[in-house]
Amino acid sequence: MLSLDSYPQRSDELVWRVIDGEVVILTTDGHEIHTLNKVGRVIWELSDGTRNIKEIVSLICERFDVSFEVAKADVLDFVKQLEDKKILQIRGGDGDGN
Amino acid sequence: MEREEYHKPRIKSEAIEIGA
Repeated sequence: MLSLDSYPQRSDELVWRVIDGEVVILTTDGHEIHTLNKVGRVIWELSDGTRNIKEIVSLICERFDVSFEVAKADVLDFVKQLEDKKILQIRGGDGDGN
Repeated sequence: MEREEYHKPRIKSEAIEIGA
Protein backbone atom coordinates (compact mmCIF):
# COMPACT_ATOMS: atom_id res chain seq x y z
CA MET A 1 0.00 0.00 0.00
CA LEU A 2 1.37 3.39 -0.98
CA SER A 3 1.91 6.01 1.70
CA LEU A 4 3.52 9.42 2.02
CA ASP A 5 6.65 7.59 3.21
CA SER A 6 6.97 5.56 0.00
CA TYR A 7 9.91 6.30 -2.30
CA PRO A 8 8.97 6.01 -5.99
CA GLN A 9 11.76 5.23 -8.45
CA ARG A 10 11.70 5.04 -12.24
CA SER A 11 12.15 1.54 -13.62
CA ASP A 12 15.36 0.66 -15.46
CA GLU A 13 13.33 -1.41 -17.91
CA LEU A 14 12.39 1.49 -20.17
CA VAL A 15 13.63 4.46 -22.14
CA TRP A 16 12.13 7.93 -21.95
CA ARG A 17 12.52 11.37 -23.48
CA VAL A 18 10.93 14.80 -23.07
CA ILE A 19 9.20 15.77 -26.32
CA ASP A 20 7.31 19.08 -26.58
CA GLY A 21 7.21 19.37 -22.79
CA GLU A 22 5.69 15.93 -22.27
CA VAL A 23 7.44 12.77 -21.15
CA VAL A 24 7.25 9.88 -23.60
CA ILE A 25 8.12 6.47 -22.16
CA LEU A 26 8.80 3.35 -24.21
CA THR A 27 8.99 -0.03 -22.50
CA THR A 28 12.03 -2.02 -23.55
CA ASP A 29 9.87 -4.82 -24.94
CA GLY A 30 8.65 -2.17 -27.37
CA HIS A 31 5.01 -3.11 -26.89
CA GLU A 32 3.69 -0.01 -25.16
CA ILE A 33 4.22 3.74 -25.22
CA HIS A 34 3.17 6.05 -22.38
CA THR A 35 2.77 9.83 -22.45
CA LEU A 36 2.67 12.02 -19.33
CA ASN A 37 1.27 15.54 -19.11
CA LYS A 38 3.17 18.44 -17.53
CA VAL A 39 2.41 17.72 -13.86
CA GLY A 40 2.94 14.02 -14.56
CA ARG A 41 6.33 14.90 -16.02
CA VAL A 42 7.36 16.77 -12.86
CA ILE A 43 6.35 13.82 -10.66
CA TRP A 44 8.20 11.46 -13.02
CA GLU A 45 11.39 13.52 -12.94
CA LEU A 46 11.24 13.75 -9.12
CA SER A 47 10.79 9.98 -8.81
CA ASP A 48 14.47 9.10 -8.63
CA GLY A 49 14.29 7.06 -5.43
CA THR A 50 15.72 9.83 -3.22
CA ARG A 51 12.44 11.59 -2.37
CA ASN A 52 9.36 10.18 -0.70
CA ILE A 53 5.85 11.02 -1.85
CA LYS A 54 5.41 13.64 0.87
CA GLU A 55 8.45 15.54 -0.45
CA ILE A 56 7.20 15.22 -4.03
CA VAL A 57 3.77 16.57 -3.04
CA SER A 58 5.41 19.53 -1.27
CA LEU A 59 7.49 20.33 -4.36
CA ILE A 60 4.36 20.13 -6.54
CA CYS A 61 2.61 22.59 -4.20
CA GLU A 62 5.57 24.99 -4.39
CA ARG A 63 5.50 25.03 -8.18
CA PHE A 64 1.78 24.69 -8.98
CA ASP A 65 -1.32 26.44 -7.67
CA VAL A 66 -2.78 23.51 -5.73
CA SER A 67 -3.48 22.62 -2.10
CA PHE A 68 -1.49 19.93 -0.30
CA GLU A 69 -4.58 17.74 0.13
CA VAL A 70 -5.52 17.81 -3.56
CA ALA A 71 -1.93 17.27 -4.69
CA LYS A 72 -1.50 14.41 -2.19
CA ALA A 73 -4.55 12.55 -3.49
CA ASP A 74 -3.53 13.12 -7.12
CA VAL A 75 0.11 12.11 -6.63
CA LEU A 76 -0.82 8.94 -4.72
CA ASP A 77 -3.32 7.99 -7.43
CA PHE A 78 -0.85 8.79 -10.23
CA VAL A 79 2.05 6.90 -8.65
CA LYS A 80 -0.21 3.89 -8.10
CA GLN A 81 -1.14 3.91 -11.81
CA LEU A 82 2.54 4.01 -12.80
CA GLU A 83 3.37 1.24 -10.33
CA ASP A 84 0.57 -0.92 -11.76
CA LYS A 85 2.05 -0.39 -15.24
CA LYS A 86 5.47 -1.40 -13.84
CA ILE A 87 7.16 1.81 -14.95
CA LEU A 88 7.69 2.99 -11.36
CA GLN A 89 8.99 0.92 -8.47
CA ILE A 90 8.19 1.70 -4.84
CA ARG A 91 10.65 1.49 -1.97
CA GLY A 92 10.03 2.15 1.70
CA GLY A 93 6.72 3.00 3.32
CA ASP A 94 4.63 -0.11 2.92
CA GLY A 95 6.07 -0.80 -0.53
CA ASP A 96 7.66 -4.18 -1.16
CA GLY A 97 10.91 -2.94 -2.65
CA ASN A 98 12.98 -2.64 0.52
CA MET B 1 7.16 33.66 -7.46
CA GLU B 2 3.82 33.03 -9.17
CA ARG B 3 2.79 29.40 -9.21
CA GLU B 4 1.83 27.66 -12.44
CA GLU B 5 -1.66 26.50 -13.28
CA TYR B 6 -2.29 23.01 -11.95
CA HIS B 7 -3.68 20.11 -13.94
CA LYS B 8 -4.24 16.65 -12.52
CA PRO B 9 -1.30 14.40 -13.48
CA ARG B 10 -2.27 12.01 -16.27
CA ILE B 11 -0.77 9.12 -18.18
CA LYS B 12 -1.91 8.01 -21.61
CA SER B 13 -0.86 4.51 -22.67
CA GLU B 14 -1.01 3.04 -26.15
CA ALA B 15 -0.12 -0.43 -27.34
CA ILE B 16 2.33 -0.65 -30.22
CA GLU B 17 1.43 -3.25 -32.80
CA ILE B 18 4.67 -4.91 -33.83
CA GLY B 19 4.78 -5.57 -37.55
CA ALA B 20 1.80 -3.36 -38.36
